[in-house]
Amino acid sequence: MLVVEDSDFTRMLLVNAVTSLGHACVEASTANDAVIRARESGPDVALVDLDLGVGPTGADLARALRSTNPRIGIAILTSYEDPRLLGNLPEFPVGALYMTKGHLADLGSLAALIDECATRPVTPRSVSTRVALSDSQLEVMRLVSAGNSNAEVAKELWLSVSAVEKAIHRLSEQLGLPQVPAANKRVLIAQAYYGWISDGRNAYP
Amino acid sequence: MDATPTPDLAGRQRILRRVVGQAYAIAIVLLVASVLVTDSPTPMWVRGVATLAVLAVGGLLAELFVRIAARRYPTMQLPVTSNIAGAVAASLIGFALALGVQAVLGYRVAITWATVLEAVVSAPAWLIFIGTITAARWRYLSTRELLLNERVHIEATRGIEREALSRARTSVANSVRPALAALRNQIDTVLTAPHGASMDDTISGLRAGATSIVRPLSHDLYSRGDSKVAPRRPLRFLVSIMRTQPFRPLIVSGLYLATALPANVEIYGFASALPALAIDVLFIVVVLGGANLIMRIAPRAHLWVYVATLVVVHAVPLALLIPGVVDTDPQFTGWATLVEVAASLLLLLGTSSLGLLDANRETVLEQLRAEVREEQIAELAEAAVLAQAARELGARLHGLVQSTVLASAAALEKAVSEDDTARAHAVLAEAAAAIDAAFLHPDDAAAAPSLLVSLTEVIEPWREICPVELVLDDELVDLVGESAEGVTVVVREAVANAFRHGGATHARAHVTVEGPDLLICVTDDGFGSGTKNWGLGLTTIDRLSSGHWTLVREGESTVLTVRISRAASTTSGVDAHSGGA
Repeated sequence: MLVVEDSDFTRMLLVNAVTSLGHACVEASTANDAVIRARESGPDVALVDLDLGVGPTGADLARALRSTNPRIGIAILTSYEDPRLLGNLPEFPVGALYMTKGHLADLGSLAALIDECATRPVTPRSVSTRVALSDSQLEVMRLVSAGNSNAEVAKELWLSVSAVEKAIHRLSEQLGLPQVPAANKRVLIAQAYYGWISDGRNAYP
Repeated sequence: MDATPTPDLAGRQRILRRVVGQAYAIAIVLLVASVLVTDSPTPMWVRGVATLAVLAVGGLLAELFVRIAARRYPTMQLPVTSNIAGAVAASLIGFALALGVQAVLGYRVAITWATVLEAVVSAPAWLIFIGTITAARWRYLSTRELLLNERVHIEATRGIEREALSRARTSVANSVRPALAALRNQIDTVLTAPHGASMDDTISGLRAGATSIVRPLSHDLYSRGDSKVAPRRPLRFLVSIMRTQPFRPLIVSGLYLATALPANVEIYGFASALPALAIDVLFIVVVLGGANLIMRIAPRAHLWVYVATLVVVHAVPLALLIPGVVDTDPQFTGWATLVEVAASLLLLLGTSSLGLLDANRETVLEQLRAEVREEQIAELAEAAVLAQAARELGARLHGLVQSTVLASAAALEKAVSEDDTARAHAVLAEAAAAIDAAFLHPDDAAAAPSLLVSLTEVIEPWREICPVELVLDDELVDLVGESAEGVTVVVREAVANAFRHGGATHARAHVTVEGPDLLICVTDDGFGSGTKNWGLGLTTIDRLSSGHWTLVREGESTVLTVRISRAASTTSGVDAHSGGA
């Protein structure tokens, strides 16, 4: 079993949990380390975090692992409620399971996840998009939350500044944010975004 | 596979369509208003149908213009020929339409058919005019771009003292400090008196703080850093521009004088029309000179100056036609027609003037340089670089501090909702540490890494998945600034694309200097991602390179070649790294 997670604390918890279920476990904090560990130990299943920081994502790593071992089971464990929240991602390998950490309620659900990946590693599965926003709306949301001005968002997405302003307004309506002058839409949108990517729960459902 | 880059036609068309659509809306209002206020023996429905026909043709012309302009001019700069072509097309279609409406419907407006002609000519002229002006605003008359893109700027910036850069950064950092200090005090209150302070207030404070922190930066972030370069002798400058291409404005002006002639002849008779034409000629001279001067002296204001002028000029004939306001006797309507002609001239001359400058950018820049003192350019270049340093720091603080504070607010709210006091305090302590770091060492957050460091950081995480060999020209190793950031982004996107969409297992990134540009060549062993369906990566590369990139298959390799301007780059004087990678 290979556990790939860039947060030391979360990785420690996951490794302990996996070990307590009786699996031999190797761990890695970066994509580079993960590829080396996989090469050395040949795991059957990899639990991979989606956001590994700068460079390859968990999806990239999953594809690299699958290219060297076509039967490896892949579970993407993430705090991102929807993979599109991370931006430009490749397709997940066939059979990869996508699960938010918030939905891993106990050891039983982790055991079931590992078992599913190990026994049916390449059974086609769909990764559903759980956030009811379009790709472009999520892109606007991500860029605003990254601290970009409207002008920068416009430049990035080939839109006019007024189109971005309208998109932010529509986004705030769709997110159900308070439509009062005192509310700063950009701040609230960023807050909703961080809510989605921090624990899988939206502060403004 | 041999893929040729496909321009982002849809994106360009979308932008142009938005601009042209606004102009078209104005044309609709003008034409509908003219139908409503004109006192005519022709039934209203006939005039309505005729107006709809005019609008339909105008709409088709507008769409045609959008498609051709988006396809032919990828940088959205329209040459002067497009104005001439537009003028010819508008004139011919105007004549044909006016004659056709008269022949088929027996329709004759209360004023003159020449007025209809002028109105029809004006509509496409509006479209061309506003589209061209907007395109020019994007790409041309920014003095920042003018200076930053020139060698003279690069030479001038080498003399800038590090102290000056440091002062610029300190000034920006100081502007954020009061907001940071206020936020820090609020957190301290909670941390030192946990039972007395309200967590809810702190959460609100963090959110408000995220806004107040960036407010002092907003001027730097939202300003494009334009400065004015005014010629010392405006008239001589104007004459020198005119001398570069004397015939083009004359051709366009001639076309419009020809268009105006039938109107004048119909109203005044041939002999009396000549003085009116003389007035038009005078108009041409005044407008052409005014247009160039306005654009040169106040590049950011020229659009509104034009629009305001045109609205006023167009409003006069409409006001004259409103029954009861002014007696609509033939003399007045004739005068109104003349004003309408003048408006059309103004429109097309403004357009031709812009197109003239666009088409002769290099010549005009030479003329400008000859007219502006070298010291002035050096001063402006230095000011531009300092402003840019301040903007870079502002952008980094904006991103780092605001994101940190917002994330803290979200985490704090979660901890409070779960009644986890320990976690809430931990979050606040982390936020306080981040704020302290930004407060005490803002320059650390702003220190731009050299190109070698940036590229190494980009390719290292791919070492085991898709290793990238990096080759840099020696003189680029210490490059910092916008172009270094551009190269880094291009390599980052190229490597990610090669692996994600091309199945590459190995890549080589080679960055060289070629004239005033940087040439980035990323070769990989993948099968190529193709260019039909652009993702965010190729869109970013296209934007950074202004469309100057190719993606081709060479034997077993895929080669992405990107050319970006070496604008606004400097060579770092500190933390120099020696040798290539």
